[in-house]
Amino acid sequence: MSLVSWNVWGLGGWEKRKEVKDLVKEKLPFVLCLQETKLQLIDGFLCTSLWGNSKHDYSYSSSVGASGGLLTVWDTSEVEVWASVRGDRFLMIHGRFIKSNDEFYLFNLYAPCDQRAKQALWDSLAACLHSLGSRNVCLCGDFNSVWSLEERWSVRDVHPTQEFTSFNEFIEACVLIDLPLNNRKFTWFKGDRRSMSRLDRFFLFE
Amino acid sequence: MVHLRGLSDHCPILLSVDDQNWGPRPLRLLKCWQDMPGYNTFVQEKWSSFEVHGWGGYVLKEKLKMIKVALKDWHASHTHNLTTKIDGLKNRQAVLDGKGEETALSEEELEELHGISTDIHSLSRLNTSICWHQSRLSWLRDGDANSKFF
Repeated sequence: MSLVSWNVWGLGGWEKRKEVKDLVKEKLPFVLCLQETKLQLIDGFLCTSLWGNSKHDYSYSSSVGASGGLLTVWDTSEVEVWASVRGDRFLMIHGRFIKSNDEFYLFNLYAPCDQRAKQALWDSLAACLHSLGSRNVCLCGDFNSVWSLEERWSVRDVHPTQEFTSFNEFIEACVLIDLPLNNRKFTWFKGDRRSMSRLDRFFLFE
Repeated sequence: MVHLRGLSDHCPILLSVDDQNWGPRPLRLLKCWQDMPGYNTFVQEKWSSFEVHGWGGYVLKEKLKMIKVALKDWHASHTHNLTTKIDGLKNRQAVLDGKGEETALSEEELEELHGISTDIHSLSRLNTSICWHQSRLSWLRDGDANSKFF
């Protein structure tokens, strides 16, 4: 079983779609979570161009203007989705893995940069997780936050900020389990190579 | 696992799951357990009752594993399903109260009623503590929900 999460930074171009398609072909994920599609409308045709011809279904939330936009695509022979919920800046699917019969909730999310908006997202997610009780929950996406100094590198000095504290409080309050990255330290690189961060991650809650 | 980022400024990340690489589930405790009568003795007795042989680290690991299972059972019989237990007590309390309005209660019934109130209080306190664990929402943390009262 595998899940892929990727902030694609726009899904309008054919080149980008091909990259996603190649990734799907290589990894054969059960579920693909994309952030920053920058698209207001997503249809079956686009999803097929990403997923190929094997059986799949999808759920998405539109971008606001040219920012944001989430898309979750899943393999319907492995995953049965009963409900999909569009929240503010997150997209949740609820269903089960067919073979193991495990029920799950999967949150695909894209956190804003603004600290106050970010805090609002943590609060609404915390409330949401609390109402679900202790079930199999996975959160993935671009959290736009790091929780320690080791997760960010910049040519300028990095100082712990409010971002660190509020992200840590959220992780601790929701008792989330952070999954380590295997082969690299950072997942985001600024164009000029002047800063790198680990913004993308998976969290589990059980 | 991180993959090539190509045209995006973010790398795709892959979460893959098979039975081997999950790692052990963490051992978790509820804060309120230690307030329950008998908890300390239970843990002490269980802990010393386990017989594991080998080098120190292995013994500790195995014992932690066993205490986790024991605590799970203990939780099920002591601190699980508190809301149902509290509701049951409240109903019984209402029955006795109603009866007391009609006739004088017997010595045993008065005793029971007294016990019920105490139990409701202590179970609610436990429940509040568990809710705090589960939600950790700021309003609970700040001591609302009558947790100050207790």
